Amino acid sequence: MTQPPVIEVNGLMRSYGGGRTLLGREKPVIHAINDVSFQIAEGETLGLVGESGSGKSTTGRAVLHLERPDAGSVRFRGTELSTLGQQGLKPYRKHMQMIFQDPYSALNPRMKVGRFVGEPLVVHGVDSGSSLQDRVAELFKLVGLDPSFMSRYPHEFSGGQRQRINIARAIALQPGFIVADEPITALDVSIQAQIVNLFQDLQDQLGLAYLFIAHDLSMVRYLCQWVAVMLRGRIVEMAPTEQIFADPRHPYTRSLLAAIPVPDPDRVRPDRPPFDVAANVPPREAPLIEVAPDHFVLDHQVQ
Amino acid sequence: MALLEIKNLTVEFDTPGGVVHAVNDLNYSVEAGETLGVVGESGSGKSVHILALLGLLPCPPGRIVSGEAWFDGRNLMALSDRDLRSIRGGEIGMVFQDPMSSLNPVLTVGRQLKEVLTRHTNLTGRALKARMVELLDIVGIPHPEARLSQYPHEFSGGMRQRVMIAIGMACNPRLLIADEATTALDVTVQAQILDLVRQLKHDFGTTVIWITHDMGVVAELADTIQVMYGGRIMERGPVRPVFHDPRSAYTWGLLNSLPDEGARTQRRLYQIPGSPPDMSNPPPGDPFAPRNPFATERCHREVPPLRDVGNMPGHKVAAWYDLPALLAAQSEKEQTP
Repeated sequence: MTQPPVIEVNGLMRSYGGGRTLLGREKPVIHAINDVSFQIAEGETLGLVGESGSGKSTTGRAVLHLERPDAGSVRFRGTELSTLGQQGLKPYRKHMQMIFQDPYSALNPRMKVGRFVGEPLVVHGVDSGSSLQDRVAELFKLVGLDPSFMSRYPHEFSGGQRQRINIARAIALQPGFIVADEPITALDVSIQAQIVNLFQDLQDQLGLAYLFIAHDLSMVRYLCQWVAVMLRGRIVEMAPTEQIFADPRHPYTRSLLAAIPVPDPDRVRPDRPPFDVAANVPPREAPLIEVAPDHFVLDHQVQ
Repeated sequence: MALLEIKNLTVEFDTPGGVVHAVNDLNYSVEAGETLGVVGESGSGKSVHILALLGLLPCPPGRIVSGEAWFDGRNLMALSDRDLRSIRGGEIGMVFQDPMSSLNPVLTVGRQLKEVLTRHTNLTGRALKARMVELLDIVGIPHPEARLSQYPHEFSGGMRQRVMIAIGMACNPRLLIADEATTALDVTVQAQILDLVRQLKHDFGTTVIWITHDMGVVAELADTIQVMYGGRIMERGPVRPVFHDPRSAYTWGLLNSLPDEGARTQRRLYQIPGSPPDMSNPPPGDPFAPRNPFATERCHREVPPLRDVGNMPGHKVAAWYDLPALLAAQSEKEQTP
């Protein structure tokens, strides 16, 4: 990591449930994420992968404090966020944005897309009047949309265009860090490459850092400098991308990598090592150990 | 011998925005024992044509304008609902994308398996129960006997999809049709399901139509690939020649837009320009022409027929242009400054 970190996460925890039901029964506590720690440098991308329910999205929301973590620390450019109140957080919200999987339900169907993209600028009092219009037009161009589309409604756009609109809104306040939660999963195949290229272009132009949550590992390999693998709420392995693909150490990472379907009919399918998630729940106390420079593996099953 | 033969199938939808031309004069056949991978994106007609031939298309708004679907000597499109019901779930098994909405939430998994088996087989009593247990066991569900009395919400997404496959396979269908059956699943679960389908093909010689948008899944599973776009077949053939020597600019674009395997060598991914077509107002010629950098004037004007191409029998393309020649000319141009 050559750049200073934009985000430093330490020991993040978030659980749901607990307490009692109306009838007085105890509700079980589910530890959605447990002792999650990572850093993302300015202008870099960390890919977060793992099965559904492993805590990827919860991690994304907890880092942005869209959901308060129960414990742990999140620092944005050195400032501790966990101790700030809602008012104290507001100036930092400008710098940290989120992009969701379903580009349609993230949009307001009754709001013209130009207003939707400009809304954060108004809310944060950054821009108004004709300079706001100019700024929104500029944002449209930046994400590859014709500024004349500003007065249209969401239903007039295709899935890929809608995701571009969401991205335009997310970058409106010139954030330094964006959490992208499965941003290409819902898009048509012929559109996914367009959006991945857009993510790259914006990173180059604006110096953005991303937390890229995904289950398409080949896209993660292409887009991310770092990869973290989650299993049942814990990061079980984390390393520079090529390191983790070349030398996966945790059995779950291995089974994940072996499961990627490769678009080449001549490729001999690797043997898929069986991995029983239920039988391999990572213990809550096990530490991550550094098995090679910058390569961390949870210390319960290092191979 | 062809197990399924689709002839001149045309399907439209009546919508407030006009008539949507979902499937346009579709013709293809699937040989017994073959696995056909159908690839396409939204508006390609890949799912709609299957619903139409199974009699599952909601009409209205759907309308089958013309077409025949011959399955083992019977035209599915001409059968009564009753006859079709006895084929669906029996000789033709189906697995759809979303297991939560395909399973009935208030009936146990056992009850739903039993329904299929009693409708299509003569099994009763102990033999019926044994078959139910066996099916859940085949699809890799642990403790099958106990699981039979559980409800769908007690299963994880992957396990529910296995239940759907168990139901789809329950009566040893001759044809299994899966529409994005693994799309919502984690890659590890998808890999298990693909292994399972391979095993079933091996054991029972099942013919499979696997509809997906994932080129990797097709490469792993299919013998033949059929690429659809705008309600038409753009290219079709044995997987090797189509993956290694694509002749449609759309197939070529799809394969090129995937990241290279191995260390990152490209700075940018190839991207197909534009958006999928609006099928209520389809382009007059080749549906892909508006997004095709190689399109000729004729592509914009006239729909190309499916023609034989390359050296491998069965490799067909619907294109007016000669893609290898165009690609060669392009790389020559790039090399001469």
